[in-house]
Amino acid sequence: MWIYILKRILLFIPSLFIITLLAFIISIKAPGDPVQRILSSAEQDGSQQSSKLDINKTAKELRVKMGLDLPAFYFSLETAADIDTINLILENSHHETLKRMVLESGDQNLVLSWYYEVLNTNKILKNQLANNTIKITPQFEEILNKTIVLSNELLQTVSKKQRESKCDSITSLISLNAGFYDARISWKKASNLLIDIEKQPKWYLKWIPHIHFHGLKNQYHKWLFGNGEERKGILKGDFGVSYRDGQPIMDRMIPKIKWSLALAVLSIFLAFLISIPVGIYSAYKNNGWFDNISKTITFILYAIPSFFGGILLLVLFANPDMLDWFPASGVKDPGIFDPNWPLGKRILHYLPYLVLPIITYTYGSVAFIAAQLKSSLNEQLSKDYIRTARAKGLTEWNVVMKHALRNSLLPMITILGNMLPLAFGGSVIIETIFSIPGMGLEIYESIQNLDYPMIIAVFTLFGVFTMAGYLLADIGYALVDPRIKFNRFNKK
Amino acid sequence: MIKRSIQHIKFIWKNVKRKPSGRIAGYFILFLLFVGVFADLIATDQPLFVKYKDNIWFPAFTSLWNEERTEIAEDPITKAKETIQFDIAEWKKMDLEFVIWAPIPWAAEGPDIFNRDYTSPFDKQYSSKDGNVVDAPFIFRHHLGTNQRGNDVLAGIIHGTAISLKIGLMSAIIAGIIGILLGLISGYYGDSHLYSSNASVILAIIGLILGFFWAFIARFYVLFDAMEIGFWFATLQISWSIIVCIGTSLVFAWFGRFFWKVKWLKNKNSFPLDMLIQRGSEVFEALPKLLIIITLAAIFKEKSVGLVIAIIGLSNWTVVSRFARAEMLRTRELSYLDAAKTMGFSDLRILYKHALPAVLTPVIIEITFLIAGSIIIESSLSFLGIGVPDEVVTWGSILSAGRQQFDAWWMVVFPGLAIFFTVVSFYVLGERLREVLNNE
Repeated sequence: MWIYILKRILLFIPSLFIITLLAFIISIKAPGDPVQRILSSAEQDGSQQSSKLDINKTAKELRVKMGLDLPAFYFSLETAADIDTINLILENSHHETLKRMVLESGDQNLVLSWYYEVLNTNKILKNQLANNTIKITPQFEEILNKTIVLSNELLQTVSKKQRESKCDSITSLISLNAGFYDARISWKKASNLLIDIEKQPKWYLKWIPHIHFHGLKNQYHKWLFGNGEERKGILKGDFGVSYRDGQPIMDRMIPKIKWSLALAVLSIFLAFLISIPVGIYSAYKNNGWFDNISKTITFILYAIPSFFGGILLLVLFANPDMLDWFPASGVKDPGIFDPNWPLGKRILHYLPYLVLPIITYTYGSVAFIAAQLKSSLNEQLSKDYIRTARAKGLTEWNVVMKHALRNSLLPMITILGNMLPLAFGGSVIIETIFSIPGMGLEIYESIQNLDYPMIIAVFTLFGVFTMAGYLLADIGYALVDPRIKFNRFNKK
Repeated sequence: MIKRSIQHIKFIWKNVKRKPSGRIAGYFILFLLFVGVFADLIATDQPLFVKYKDNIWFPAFTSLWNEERTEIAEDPITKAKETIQFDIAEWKKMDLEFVIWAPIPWAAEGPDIFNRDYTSPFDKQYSSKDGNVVDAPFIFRHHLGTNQRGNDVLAGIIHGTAISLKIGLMSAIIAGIIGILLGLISGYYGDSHLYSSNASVILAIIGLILGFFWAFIARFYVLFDAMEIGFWFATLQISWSIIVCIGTSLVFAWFGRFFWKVKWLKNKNSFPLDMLIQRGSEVFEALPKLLIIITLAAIFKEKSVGLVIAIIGLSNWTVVSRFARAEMLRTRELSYLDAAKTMGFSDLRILYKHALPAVLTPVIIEITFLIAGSIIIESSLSFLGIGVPDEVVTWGSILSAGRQQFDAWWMVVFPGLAIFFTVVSFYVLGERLREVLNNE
């Protein structure tokens, strides 16, 4: 059996690896550039007021510091058409467009010369606008501005159709107006190059795979194990800092987890406390009056989604128009609450706030656990060893509580294991309804604010806790039930 | 074959109807389906039939395929011409000669300025045709009240039915197809029934990498463009990519048979297919679905109903596959499968003709429960304001608006009851199906 447990733990590792990999993919594919984000928040503070050149320089430094210039993974699978030179181009937003053009045409030199030609046109236009010695009419200035904007956008459009329509409108704008002499020559060159690109001279290159190995110097490795400097890597619990306030993710999380954990533990305990006697009695008196009533009630409770149940409770019991028994939201009254109170007084203060959330949390699981327990106990009660026990003359109490119940509690291990992630993640819906400052609300808020470091931390930890729940449940089974040998991983 | 399955369904329905619970649940679901399919005709602010200045129109019907239909009405006396665009015309204010309104003459998103700010179903409700505000006649009353902007709650619930059922059924179909497929093969082959030579396994892995490259990396911008065109086109392209990926791997594996000269390469080992699929589904279940939905919604840039269907369907396949696998393990022990094997039928034929029908019945029961679960997930998502586009009215979104205003109990109770009864009737139907099919 120890070998089984060891094997199970070893199988846990690849799954963990896949989860971290998925989280990492989300983190690098997430919309928005983290460097831009940091820079713009610094600008809003007013602490940095600098010219565009400086910003570009700081952006580049930040990129290197955050390791974003490194390749993403240990190896990369690319087409033979892909080139690294594109990553050297400073303007980040131009990368995708150029990559697409290179991929489709296969000829990087053509695409790069087209790119520089378009940049050149753009520069000429800007010079023309900035040059005050030549007088320009307001209409022409408007057209000039429009052309500059269009040519800027052109380099950021990945969609082929939109790119073509933008090219056409620039062409028509430039050729219609006499003022664009220099720009026209440059644009003409770019258009000719584009025609060559459209012919896709090396189209076959994109069907040829290329594998590059990057070694340990890659973003994923650094993300997992840290870079040896200020980042410690997620394996040591460093998920970076929150986009919202710059606090380390872990510091933000721990006080929130406390609330979710407290709620989950309380309500799971309550749920078992209520549902086990109900399940036992309704299985013992199968199809009796108690069983029929409890069956109906559990059925109804199970079908009420928690957000409906929660709001209904709020409308009924926390509503000045109906019954104003409990506070509607939050966990404390900031007017009276004092964090220096002794623990007992604090708990008494929290209690009325927690009644409704705990009921909402509990009712669904009560229904589920009672039904599960009833069906598994029923199955046990119809077995031969129960008949033997009864024939031996044991009391009914001994038969049911000692013999049958022990065996039918096995599925409860699975249920407990499945509840482990709940203790970490809380319930997004319940915590949002009752505004409890736990992980669920935190998840919801970080989603609303696109706080990706937080989302990724939650993603990883949630996955880890779920997998750990499965692992613990399996090990629990192996420990409790001597019949389970688990040889399904052995070769037959 | 179709005729036989229709007969089978009729037979099952006859048995389900025997108990009142099954009958009520079945008819209620049929009623919901009816409401969902004809939602645009049941609750719409356009008349079903109208006679206006000698023109006869069926605005609600014609709007089904041409939303912005425009007609010109000519006054027979003054010869003044009037342009009427059906979807934005204010029919309730027009001088109509003859009109048949829809049963609920309100659209889900059509503010009624006279009954704004949470009008209760029992309050005085107003309407106006020619500037004078009067008590609303019965047909124009909001039977389940209105929300802050004056949208009819009942109309919202009716349109929500369509969305909920669509998401519930479609996602269950997606989960069913993937789950049955994977559950069947993982139960049928197990860890020790699929033999392949080392050469085949190695080639299959190489083929998988190459297939992935050709399907997803070389075709990246094709997929990118497809996502901009629309959800269904994107699905088509992605499915094609998946077929290319798996097909390449299979073709490569097939070439493995030509390596018979080297001894180590032709050694046959059992391939732990079951273990791989089990671990895979475990990882899949460990992912927080909510966060995946957000991330995908961010990648797709726009919220869409199709995306919610795909995500709920994809996240539910593990449930189906677990049941299909367990059922397949039981079926595999039965002697008729051994008989089929002895007769030399191919695995594919045995799986399709002999195993699938046996597995399908218990899985269909599970899918009934799954539909209920998907409806709950969908309404929770729209309750949180995630997933479904903002302009689509769903049960969850009405409830979430009701949360802002406790006085407006009708915005909490009625959509909540709609969810509750729908879910209950799917549960009851599932229980009843289980009883019937287990006795069969």
